[in-house]
Amino acid sequence: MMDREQLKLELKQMIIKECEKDLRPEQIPDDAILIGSQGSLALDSLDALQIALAVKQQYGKRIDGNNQTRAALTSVNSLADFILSDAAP
Amino acid sequence: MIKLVSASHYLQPVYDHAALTSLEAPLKGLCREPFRRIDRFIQLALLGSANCASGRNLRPDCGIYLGSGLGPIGNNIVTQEQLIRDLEIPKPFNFINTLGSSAGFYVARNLGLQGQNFFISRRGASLQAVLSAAMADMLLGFVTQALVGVVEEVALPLDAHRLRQHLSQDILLAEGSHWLLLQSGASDSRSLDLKRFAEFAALEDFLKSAWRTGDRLCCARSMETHAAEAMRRDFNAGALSDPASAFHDSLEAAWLAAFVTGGEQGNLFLVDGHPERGWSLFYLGA
Amino acid sequence: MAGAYIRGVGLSCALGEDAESCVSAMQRMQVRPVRLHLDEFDEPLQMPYYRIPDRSELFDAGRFERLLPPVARAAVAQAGLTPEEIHRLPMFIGSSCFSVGLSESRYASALVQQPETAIPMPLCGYQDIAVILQRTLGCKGDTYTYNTACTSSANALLAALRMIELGWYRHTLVAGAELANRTTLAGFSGLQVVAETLRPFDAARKGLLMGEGIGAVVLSAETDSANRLRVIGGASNCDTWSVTTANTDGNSVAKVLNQALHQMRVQPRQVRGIKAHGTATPAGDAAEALGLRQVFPNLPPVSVLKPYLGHTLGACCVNELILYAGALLHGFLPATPGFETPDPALGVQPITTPEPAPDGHYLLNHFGFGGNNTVLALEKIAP
Repeated sequence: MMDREQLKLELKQMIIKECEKDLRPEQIPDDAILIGSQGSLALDSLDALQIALAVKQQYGKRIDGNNQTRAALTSVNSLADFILSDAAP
Repeated sequence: MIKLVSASHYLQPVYDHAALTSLEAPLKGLCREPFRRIDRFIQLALLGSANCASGRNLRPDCGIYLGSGLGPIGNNIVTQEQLIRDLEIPKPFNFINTLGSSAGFYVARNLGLQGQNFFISRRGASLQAVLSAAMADMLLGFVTQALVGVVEEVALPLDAHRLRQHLSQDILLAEGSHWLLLQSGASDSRSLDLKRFAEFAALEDFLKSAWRTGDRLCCARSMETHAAEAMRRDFNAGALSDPASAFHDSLEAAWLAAFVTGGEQGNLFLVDGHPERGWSLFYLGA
Repeated sequence: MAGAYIRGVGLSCALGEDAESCVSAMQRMQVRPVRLHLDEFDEPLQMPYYRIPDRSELFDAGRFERLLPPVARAAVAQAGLTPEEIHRLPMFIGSSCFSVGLSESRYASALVQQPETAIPMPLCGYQDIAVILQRTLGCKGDTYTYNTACTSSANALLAALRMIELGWYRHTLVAGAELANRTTLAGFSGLQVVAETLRPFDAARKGLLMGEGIGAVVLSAETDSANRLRVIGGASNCDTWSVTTANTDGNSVAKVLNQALHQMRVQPRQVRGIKAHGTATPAGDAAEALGLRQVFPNLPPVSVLKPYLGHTLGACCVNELILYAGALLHGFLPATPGFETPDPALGVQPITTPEPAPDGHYLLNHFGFGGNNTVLALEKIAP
């Protein structure tokens, strides 16, 4: 079982790297909304695709157009839950 | 009347075993917003266009005409490596930037432009293609201002980049971003004219009548050899050669931009053509 | 502008390998995507795909050189140009892939044979289409290669039209080419915009389907009196709202439509039909529909041609222009297969059976990544 705190740190590092954000991991709260104009990170649908592909390649979990997997991109918390869940990749 | 009201010239040789010059610091002062998802080709385009437009009033209809022989080669390499070597689906940011219109998009966004925005290539003669397209639109009145740029990027390693272009390994490579701001109407700036001739003799006659002491002639590398030799013989004193002795695919753009920004006096004639397709003369007034 | 005449056409796409049979297949509403599998990835990709029905393997490296010349030759032959005119013929090329498929194959085989010296992007291919066409047709004229994503061949055509208008050229060859390659197929999959069924402007639309297509048009300043098709103008702009789609409020689409109409001095009510871009992505169709409705209080018949040949990306303008122009000459406006359920949010309903095509003005829409929007206008002239 992957350590949840470690995973969240990895995810933050991944988001910063993939989306080229000028941030440090500790500047992203676990529950911050990631995508959309309400979110503090100001990421858009293209960033969502970039993160989705990175998640697929690093963790083997598929985030696509369906609502359940799309919801995984809500926050670092939900992304970690999704990766740790038993749902088929 | 088309006037050349501003120009910028960036030509940076890339030496063996050296890293590419970082463009982040100069871009900070030139970009309205910190752009993400941009590759080196886009950075070069932003740098040159912003310098050229600096202090100028851009009109709302100002068109962007970006030319390149190799385009975003570094990004295209990364994308192909992801796909073919690593057998991975290309990352969205990389894939989108392979499609040609990204650099123009960011230039437009940075300068607040929403007019025409074209990417045009003719490999080693991309300046001639992009300048012709811009001047055609200005002559017809579709735009009254045009930002014309030519950008060439170098991708490391250098030996591979030379092989890719069928160049010998001792050639010094350079990156370039060369931009001209053209404008219709009166001003005290240099005028730019494009004359087209079906016959070489007519081109020669025109050049002889227009030539003044101190003028410069540039024969495009794509020009037919015999004609280029004849021209260089006739106008030997004014022949313009490579100022940096470094190579990229669109050197004519570097020559032109260096001439304009270097404070030279006199007319500049850039000639290209072939007996079977006719001749083009870009005539930059003193 | 006086415009320019369509003197000759050549086309190869999923509908067939010559323009005339493509148009009649479209009239019969033939829709024939095949199932495409890309097995090299972790999770194999598969999708419906509109391929050119030649017999070779889809990724056969020789296809590029084999399929391009016959299309251009057909256009030049139909135009009836003299050898001297062919010799000087300038080319305006639009593509979003160029020779990248060839570049992929070379890199892939180098990786197998000599991995330590394999060079990615062995071909810098912007000029490759022009070079092949010049060599096989014997043309020496100027070349202009446009690469503005899905508006590439629209912008190439617009440039050809304008340079004819200036008197720089009497005849031009405008060509679009898009052939199967892994970069495009995998790249669009990564963007999650590839659907299972193509439903332009439909409430159930889920995305695009890609296709192959090579189209060539001889556009000329003059023609004989029997020619009834003229490209009369167009407009292009760049919307910096998003790199992947036009502003979904429709404003930038409306702006370029108005520019095109204004430039031709045509009123919206004079437009007899519209060939929409209609990628069938949720956002793309929204931007186009809202833009159309801003400009046209009463929309003329709208056709989407991508259900016949897929989205041929950089070549889509020339390919769809040839199909639409062919339909106009045959007297019909093409139907849009795949459209079933109107989307009340869009308010655009493409026609689902062919309708008569009167003389008059027609618009052709093209929108691409990088915010590039280009609208072209055609006139069907009374005999």
